[in-house]
Amino acid sequence: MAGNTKKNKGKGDSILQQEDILQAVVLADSFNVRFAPMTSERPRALFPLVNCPLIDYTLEFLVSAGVQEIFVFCCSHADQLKKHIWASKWNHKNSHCIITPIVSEDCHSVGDALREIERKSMIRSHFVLVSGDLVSNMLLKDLIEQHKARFKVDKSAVITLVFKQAYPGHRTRSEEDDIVVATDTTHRILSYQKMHGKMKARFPLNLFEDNREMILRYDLMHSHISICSPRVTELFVDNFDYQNMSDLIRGILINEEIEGNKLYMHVIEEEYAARVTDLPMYDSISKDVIRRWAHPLVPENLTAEGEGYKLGRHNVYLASDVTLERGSILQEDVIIGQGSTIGTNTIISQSVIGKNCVIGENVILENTYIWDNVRIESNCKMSMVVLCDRVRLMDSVIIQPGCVLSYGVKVGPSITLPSGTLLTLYPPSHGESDQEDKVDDRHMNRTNRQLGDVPVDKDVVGEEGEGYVWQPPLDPDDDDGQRQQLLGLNVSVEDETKGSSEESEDEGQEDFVSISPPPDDTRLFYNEVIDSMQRTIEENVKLENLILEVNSSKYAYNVSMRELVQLVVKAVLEMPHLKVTEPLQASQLLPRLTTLVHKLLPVFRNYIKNVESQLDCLNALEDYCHASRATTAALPKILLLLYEADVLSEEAILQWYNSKSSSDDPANSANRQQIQTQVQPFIKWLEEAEEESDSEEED
Amino acid sequence: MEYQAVIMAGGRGSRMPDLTASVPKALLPVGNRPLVWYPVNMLDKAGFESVIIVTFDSVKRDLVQALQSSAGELLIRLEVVTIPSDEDWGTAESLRFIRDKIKTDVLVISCDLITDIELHLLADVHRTYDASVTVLMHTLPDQSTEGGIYVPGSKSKRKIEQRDIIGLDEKGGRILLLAAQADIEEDLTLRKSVFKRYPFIQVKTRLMDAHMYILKKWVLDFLADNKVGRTYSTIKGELIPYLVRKQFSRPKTGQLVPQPNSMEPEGAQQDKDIASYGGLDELTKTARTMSSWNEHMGDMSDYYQHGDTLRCHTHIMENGFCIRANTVAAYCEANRQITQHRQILGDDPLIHPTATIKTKSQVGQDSMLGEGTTVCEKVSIKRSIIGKHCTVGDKVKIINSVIMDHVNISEGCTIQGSIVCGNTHIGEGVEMKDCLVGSSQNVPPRAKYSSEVIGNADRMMEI
Repeated sequence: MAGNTKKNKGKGDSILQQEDILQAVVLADSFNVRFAPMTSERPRALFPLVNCPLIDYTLEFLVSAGVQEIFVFCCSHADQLKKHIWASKWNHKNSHCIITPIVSEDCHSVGDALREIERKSMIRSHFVLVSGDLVSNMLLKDLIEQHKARFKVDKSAVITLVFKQAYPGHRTRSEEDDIVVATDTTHRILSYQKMHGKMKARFPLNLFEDNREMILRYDLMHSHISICSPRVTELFVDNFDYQNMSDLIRGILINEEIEGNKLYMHVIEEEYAARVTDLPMYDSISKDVIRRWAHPLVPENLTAEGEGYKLGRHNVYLASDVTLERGSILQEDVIIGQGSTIGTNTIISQSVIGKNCVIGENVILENTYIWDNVRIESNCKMSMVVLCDRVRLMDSVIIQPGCVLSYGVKVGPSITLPSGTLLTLYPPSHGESDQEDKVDDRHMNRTNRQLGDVPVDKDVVGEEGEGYVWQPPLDPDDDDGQRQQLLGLNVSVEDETKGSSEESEDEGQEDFVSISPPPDDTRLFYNEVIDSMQRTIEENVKLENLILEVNSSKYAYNVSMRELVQLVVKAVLEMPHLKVTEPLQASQLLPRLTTLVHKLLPVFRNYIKNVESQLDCLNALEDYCHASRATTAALPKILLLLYEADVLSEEAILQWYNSKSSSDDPANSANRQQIQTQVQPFIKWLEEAEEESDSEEED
Repeated sequence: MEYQAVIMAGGRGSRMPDLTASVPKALLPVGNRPLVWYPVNMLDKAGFESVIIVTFDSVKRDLVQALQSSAGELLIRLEVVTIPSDEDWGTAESLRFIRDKIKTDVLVISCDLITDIELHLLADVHRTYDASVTVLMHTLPDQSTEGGIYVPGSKSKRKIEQRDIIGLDEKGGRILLLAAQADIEEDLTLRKSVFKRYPFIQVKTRLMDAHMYILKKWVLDFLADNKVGRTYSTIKGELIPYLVRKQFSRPKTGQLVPQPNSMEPEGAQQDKDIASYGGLDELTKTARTMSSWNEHMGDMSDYYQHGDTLRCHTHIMENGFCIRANTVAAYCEANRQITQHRQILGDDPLIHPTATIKTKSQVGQDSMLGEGTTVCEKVSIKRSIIGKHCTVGDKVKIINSVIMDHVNISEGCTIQGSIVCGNTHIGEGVEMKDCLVGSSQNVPPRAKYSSEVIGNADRMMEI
């Protein structure tokens, strides 16, 4: 690329030269708060990953791939990013890449950012779109040539998306990037589905009609590297509802026939590409970098000259000015930044330690990410923890996996932080008042001064501790409704078991469908009745309409009047159970049922008129009691309720009570026995009441 | 004997009623041989010693006669099993019917399959993967090349047949998904658990199931004993899709380990899960426990690690000749192509030695003349097959047609793209194009037909 440019310059053909410049757009904002509270002082792009700011990995990748002009799109903490870029090595005169930060604080999504870019018309040709948290070592040149060649032939091939091959269970496979991609043999993407939380992938039939061969792949990870044609920004402008790349992908695929735009994919197998999207990814990518999977993006190449990391055995990296006391052990995959001190008999494995940290004696660190200027006193122990800048741990602090301690938090002495604790210096009230704590840090600094107004919970952070438990805000914008994933909490294992149990259920159902005859009409009728009732209750429809609906269903499914009465009663009994996950207790059931019966009284009156129908109703009750224990317990009250509502008469109840069990099945009769003992007090009361009224009459 | 072979010749040919009205499907001539001869010959060449042919009561005698007369050189022992003529049994039903005769894994072939596949290719797949069922698939040629073909006796052009959607694993050997396009309403759904095990699935829609299967013995047991299996009537439509689907379901707990040596009554066994059918026999189990063989290595590790006993594999014929003569169009196509694949027909010359061709007549290299047929003067025959004891009059032109036995074509006729069934007399100067003439018809002189069915009027509506 660079050679080309020079040649063109020689000819003095400025237009050609412009076209030949390869541009890239880096979105240095994640547009979500997944890393809160760590993002309160620093944008995600400036997080240290193995002691080097994240965005440096991205920029290094782009520059070494031959990109000549990079626009870094900054939103939150833009001043920090700007400062960082100006100070970076790419800003030197002899750098063959121009990096321009673009500040736009009112952007809230990728879509906004690209629309802004289109408005400023900075893009002249095909460009590379990446996010500012990308670590990759792939070569772009061939891919861009491919993309351009394809675009030349077919102007509708607007984007080439880069995927990294990663089998299910791969370490850098993020939970939310669980995708199934369908392509044809030319690598055109036909379908792109997020599978997170779904059991099944769906493919519309017309895909199979149009394509004689397709490949469905679940072994891919979206690297969020996109080679875009200039038309992409236009697409975002045209469709102002596109918020992020997923929207664009979905939009292009859905409107393919109308707009004719096509997506292509490129799969990398050997090269590395991954994004730091959440804490588990931060963890796994850090390890990949330490273990040199992303070569040449390794610690000794990335950091400034003076630091000079030296690689020892077992992937232990030490900066030039590290003090290791006697008896300290660095087991494997450890990197220690400039000016840090490790105390006597301290054991460290698979951890990153930043600059100017002081670690005391007898400390055990595993899978721990320690940023700069952290002080850890003696006898502390932790694994799977992130400690941000200036954190201080007093003597004998134990931190269980999955904790994050934000900037300047102090903990201890002699206290244990339970698994998954998030601590920040800002009192909770202020944290909540501004959900988007990423928006600006000035606000946060202000609240900083108010520290001390809110008392610190000493039970959590210890006697001399400073910091508050941070509650992740309920984030309605989070596209998959997923809460922040905590570091080290192994969510995926749980997922697995859940998945398999669901699957077997699912399987059972399939069997059921294939073996049994189609569901009979009464069953369908019953379902219909329940649906109608639910609608009636929820939408407050007139009861006459419900009766009408039930009547019409009766004809539709050819149900006899008797069955209808029984099924309607059962449906009413079923209603309270529908919306709850756990089985209801009798005490909980009763109030719900009471309100329900009162509401539906006209329906009962409509169908239950004579003794015969009352008996049907009672039999239905009994039947239902076999199935539900709670109902059995509540049966006397239900009977009383219906009796008082004049739905059931004494006569019918007594007749039902005295009638023999119709079937000879011992289990059935045992059940009946149980019911009879249950309702005995009620019957007794009923008989007495009858006698009373009789005697009154006699008087 | 590793495999027993079964040929399913009990089909009605319901997709080509005009042709099968007079001749049973198994005996329709292709290249002057009955259709059923092709699978029999293939098995014979492959070294099978015997074959079971399932056919109707009424067809048995003709079938045996036809096979014996048309190919005296066959060494294979024919065992013809008849099913009642008034039943319309599917392939699975027929298989269940002959279950007692099956002692080993079974190779099932439909009688309408004409192919030059070397059978060991299919058997190799079956052996390599120890598959429960191995299916022969054939890549269909591109639709575009055959788009303009007229079907004899039909006004409409050839319809695009409903295809199957077939999902294969990365290597293209294992069938992961099988669905008929017609059965899917809107979306094809695939469970995530399948993706987890097979993250790379190739989906092909241009494969044709050649109706040649190798089934494990236990699949037959399943068909006969299991309460689900007993409801199935066809192999293609029901059994194979079920087996493919069941590959990814785990057996219900409790049924996983069939209790050894328990004297269960027959009734209790019928509810066995399909997974328990495919279990290893005692000998194999002992052999495995006593040997140092490690099942978790190499090509098969995937299967054993997941403990799946049910495996559906396929061999795909990318090229080579494979055609199923189950529709009128496919029947014509088979006749057209058969002369180009002489290796299937054996060493017999295309023009029978007893056929007489008079002077100034031209019979193309791609045409066949049957025994005792007489071709008169100035006749031109191209890309056509003419049966036994036919008489072709002077100045007749026959192009792209199939003429069955004992047909008498008077002088000056032009017959193009048509099928003429046996014992028919065609009068002078008749011109027909893309027609289907029923058997024992008398076509009046100087008539002109185009895309019509002549004779068997009552059946005309069905096409």
